[in-house]
Parts: sequence; structure tokens; C-alpha cells
Amino acid sequence: MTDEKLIGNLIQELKRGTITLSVLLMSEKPAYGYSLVTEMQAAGIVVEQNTLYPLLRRLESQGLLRSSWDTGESRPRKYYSVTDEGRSTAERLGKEWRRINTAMSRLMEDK
Amino acid sequence: MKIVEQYLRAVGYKLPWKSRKDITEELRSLLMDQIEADFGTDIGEKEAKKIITNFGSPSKVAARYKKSKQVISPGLTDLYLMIIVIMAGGMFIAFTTVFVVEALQDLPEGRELAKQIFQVFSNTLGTWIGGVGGLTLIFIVLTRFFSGSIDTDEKWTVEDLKDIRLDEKLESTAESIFSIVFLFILIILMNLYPSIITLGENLFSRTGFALGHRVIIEVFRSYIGLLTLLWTLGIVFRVIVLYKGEKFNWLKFFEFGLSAAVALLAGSMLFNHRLYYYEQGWIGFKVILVIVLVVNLVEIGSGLFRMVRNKVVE
Repeated sequence: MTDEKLIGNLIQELKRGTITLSVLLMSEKPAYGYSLVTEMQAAGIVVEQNTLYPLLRRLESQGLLRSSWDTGESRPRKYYSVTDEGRSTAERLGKEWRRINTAMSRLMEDK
Repeated sequence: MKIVEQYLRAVGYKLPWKSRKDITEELRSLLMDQIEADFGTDIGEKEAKKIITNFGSPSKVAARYKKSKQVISPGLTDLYLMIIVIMAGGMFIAFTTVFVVEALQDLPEGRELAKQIFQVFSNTLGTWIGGVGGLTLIFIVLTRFFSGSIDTDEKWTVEDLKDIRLDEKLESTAESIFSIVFLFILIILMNLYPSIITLGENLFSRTGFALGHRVIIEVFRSYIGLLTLLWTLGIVFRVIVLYKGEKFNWLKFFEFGLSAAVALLAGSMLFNHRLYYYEQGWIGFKVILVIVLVVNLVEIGSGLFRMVRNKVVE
């Protein structure tokens, strides 16, 4: 019988890198944490909030995102948007993603 | 909402102090967004509890915001654990040796015997805890400043492989462990009980053989600092050999230097007449010094011979 937990972990590993790329691509216009979760889900990328929120801060500390607090709404929200460095990183990651995708598709077609 | 604030307080307590306020503010905003999206604005504690449960325990949430810190780098952990075990063994043997030698002189009875046996364990534990503390500090410093080169060998190049000699056997782990244990025992015995030499001499006399000389412990004490330094360097050398698995050229030179220093010290002790009284022959402590001198000279000679031979073969 297949170990569901093992499969779950492997899927998590598979998704890990793609979440960073998705965030960089989807924060072209400023977005706050919860809106990013829902937008990503709408785009078919399922991500846990507890994974995404710390990731946003990490990408900010790496200079790939910038953030600012908006206090004009009903409650203060922290908005994140991609930096120039984040944009060029996303471009490079995107190229790599396409290359892997092509290779993997070919590999799976051969099966 | 009280339950949300209580949750944020619990998470915040586990967050790094520097970013606590900012992360907590952001989490409050995110939690409220989620609560409103799922249940609207008119919500009770029950709904909030559901969202909080989905968010996860405070420790789990806080852990995701923290950088993972390592006290001891993974590359050093095995070695660290091994030395801890070696230290425990070495210290136990050292204190047991002292107990046995003292008991052979004057065998205690009843409660005194039980007290002395208990002291073997308590001394071992006390010294071991102190030693582990010192060792841990050393490994923390190594991890703090050298974890990059230790874990990933950042400075490694393929040229480094040239130093590995396939015609020589891998260094024996057992030999290194034995040496470390032995040196630990010597350090403890000579620093805490230098008079064990006198006890040993007394025991030897009881066998019926005549001692050619006796060591003056007060004079011997002046050598203990230097001996401890050489034995500590010996432990460091063996630990590096254990870690590397090979004696690279610089390690071989380190070993030669150490052997030469030990031989020199043994020689100077051998011919220092102030160190002995009743000096009428070689039987006694001098025999040990002669053995140390010869063993180290042979080690230097054979090591140099191997190095020259390898150079010629190359």
C-alpha cells in the first residue's frame, strides 16, 4: 500500500520551489498576505497560509520583495510587491522552470 | 477579539524579539482577513477558535518565522558525541585507577569503601560535566566561525585528493580512540593525583624488586604544565585524525613536532638529577621515560622513512 504521508511529503517538496516563483510573479502589483493566498488558490496553486506568510518575509529580507504598511483601510495591512531584483530572479527561475517542465514532460511521455 | 489577542500574545512570546511587533501586527491583520472571509464581520469566539486552530499552534507558527540555528554544526555532531563518550570512559578509568592504586596501599573497609566507590562515580560525573561544558564551548565556537568550511568543505579543490595515499591504510579509529582515552587518563591523573607515581613506586617495591630511584613529586609538579600541554595537543591531533580519517602531510609534520617535543621532554626528565632521590639505578620511573623516548624516536624515524620512500616512489 502506498504511504500517503510519504507521498504528501514528496508533493510538498515538489511544490516548494514553485511557490517562490508564483509569489514573485503574482506580486507585480502590491498584494497583502491573505489576498495572495486567495489569488494563488484561484490560479490553481494551493499554498498553506503558514507557508506563505513567513515566505513573504524571507523574500523581503532577500531583497526580492519590498513591503509597506497601508493604514488607510479598516485595519492595517502589509502589502508586498516585487523588486527589480525579484523580477529578474523570477525571469531566471521561469526559464529554469520551462526547461525542467519540457524535460519532465518528455520523460513522462516516454513512459 | 480576546481569543485572537491571546493567540497573538502566545505566538509573539515565541518570536524573535527584534521582529516580534511587526510579525504580530501582520499576523493580526491576516487572521482577521481570514476570519472575515470565512464568517463575515459578525463573528463569535467559536468561529475565531476554528480559524486559530487551522493556523496552528503558537510554537508551529513562530517556528516558521525563525531562522534555524545550529549550536553544533551537523559536520561536527558525530565527532562531538564521540568525544563526549570517550571523555566519560577516560575519566571513569582515571578515577577507578586512582581508587584501585590507593586501595592496594590501604584497603578501606565498610562505609569508607562504599564512600570511596561512590566518589569514583561522583568525581567522574563532576569532571565529565565540566569537560563536556568546555568541549561544547569549543564546538560552538567552531560552528559559529567555521561551519561553512566544516559542513561543505568550501575551500576544497580536486587537487586536495592528491594527498590521499591509496597505498596506506586508513587511520584506525580504534587506535585514535584508545590514544584519546589514554591521554585523558594521563591528564586527569597527573593533574589531580601526581602522587600516584609514589603510590606506584610503593606497589612496585612490594613485589620484591629493588627500585633504582624514586621521583620527587614536588619537582615533578613543575613538569605537569608542559606535559598537560603536550597531551592536550596529542588529543587535538588524534581528534583531527578521527575527523579527517587520513594523516595529511601537515598532520604528519604536526605529529613529528609533537613526537619530537615529547622525546625532548622525556630526555630532559631522564637526565634531570634533581627530579630523583636515592638515584642508584635505572629501575623505576626512568624505565617509563626511556620507553617514551624510544617509542617517539622510532615514530619520527619510521614516519620520515615512509615520507622519503613515498617521495622516491612518486
